[in-house]
Amino acid sequence: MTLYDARGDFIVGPTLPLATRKGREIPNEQRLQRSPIEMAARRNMVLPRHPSARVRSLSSVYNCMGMVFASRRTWIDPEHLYMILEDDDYRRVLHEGELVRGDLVIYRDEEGHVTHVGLVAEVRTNLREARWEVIVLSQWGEVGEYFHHIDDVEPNLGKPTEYWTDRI
Amino acid sequence: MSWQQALSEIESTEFDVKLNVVSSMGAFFRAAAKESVVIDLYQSMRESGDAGEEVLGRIYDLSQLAVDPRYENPKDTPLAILLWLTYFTEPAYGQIAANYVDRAPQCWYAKKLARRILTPPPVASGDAWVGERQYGLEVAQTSSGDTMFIMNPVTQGARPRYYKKAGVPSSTAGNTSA
Repeated sequence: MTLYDARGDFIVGPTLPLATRKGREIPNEQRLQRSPIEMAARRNMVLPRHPSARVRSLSSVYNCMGMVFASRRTWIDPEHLYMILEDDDYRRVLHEGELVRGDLVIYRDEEGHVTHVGLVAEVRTNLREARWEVIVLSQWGEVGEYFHHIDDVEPNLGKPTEYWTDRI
Repeated sequence: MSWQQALSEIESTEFDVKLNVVSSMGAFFRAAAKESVVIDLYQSMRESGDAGEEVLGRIYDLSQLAVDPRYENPKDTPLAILLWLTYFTEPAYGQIAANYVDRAPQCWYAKKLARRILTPPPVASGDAWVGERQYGLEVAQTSSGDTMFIMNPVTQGARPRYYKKAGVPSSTAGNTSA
């Protein structure tokens, strides 16, 4: 029975067998669902602060990494992100204009820690302002899954810094 | 902000949302360390034994709440933060608080922190354990300032009580059932 993860943190929830394409194990842990009342209260707190945000789902079983890499089944620590990107043959996308639906957006905090991951849901051209508008789908910790403008996230989720894709 | 207000704020939905958007234990506590309510409460706990003891009592209260078995403990965030602050301001209390939190049902960050305090993780290269035995439960009593905390209630399942040292017969102070 596994009691601790690689960093020495105690494992609370059940884990799923999960591996990268190259077979390396992806540590994960399933978290219990929060009550519907709590989730609704959280949604009501989040939406007024983020005008672009639209709810997709209100689950707390998975996090942003679990949404992207484990089909919304479990919670994966962002520290495993680069192992997965490497083993699953992801490559950097250097410009917003090259993004397509399904590519990854990575967020970091001021200290450079990876804080959040989202999937590109839509890329719009804003001709008037000569820029791209990227709409992202991401799970905000255990607060729910939202469609949102790429920059319109809670402060603790950091800022978008990198784009990645597994397109061949 | 008074420590009483800070304590109340830490149990609010807004605070819960701010911290629970993150996806890892490290990010959770890094985010907490930037919150003014946490900083205020931390300073109060360092300066005042009353604040620290009230927080310990609050940890006990929160850890005793009944939780719907289908869902995660709604007090996970305040339990984690209050335990964290207690451990860093008064490690002896931190051990006691970790014992309370460890028994609270369906926690997440709070449980992970409590286990980290109570049970050192194994060394990476083998089966040996870092540190000595789990010592939280063996603490009989500890002193802080002019008050004395009685450990016995932990094992009796009662809320901790605090007594001024003067005038408390030590042989009966731990008996909370009276």
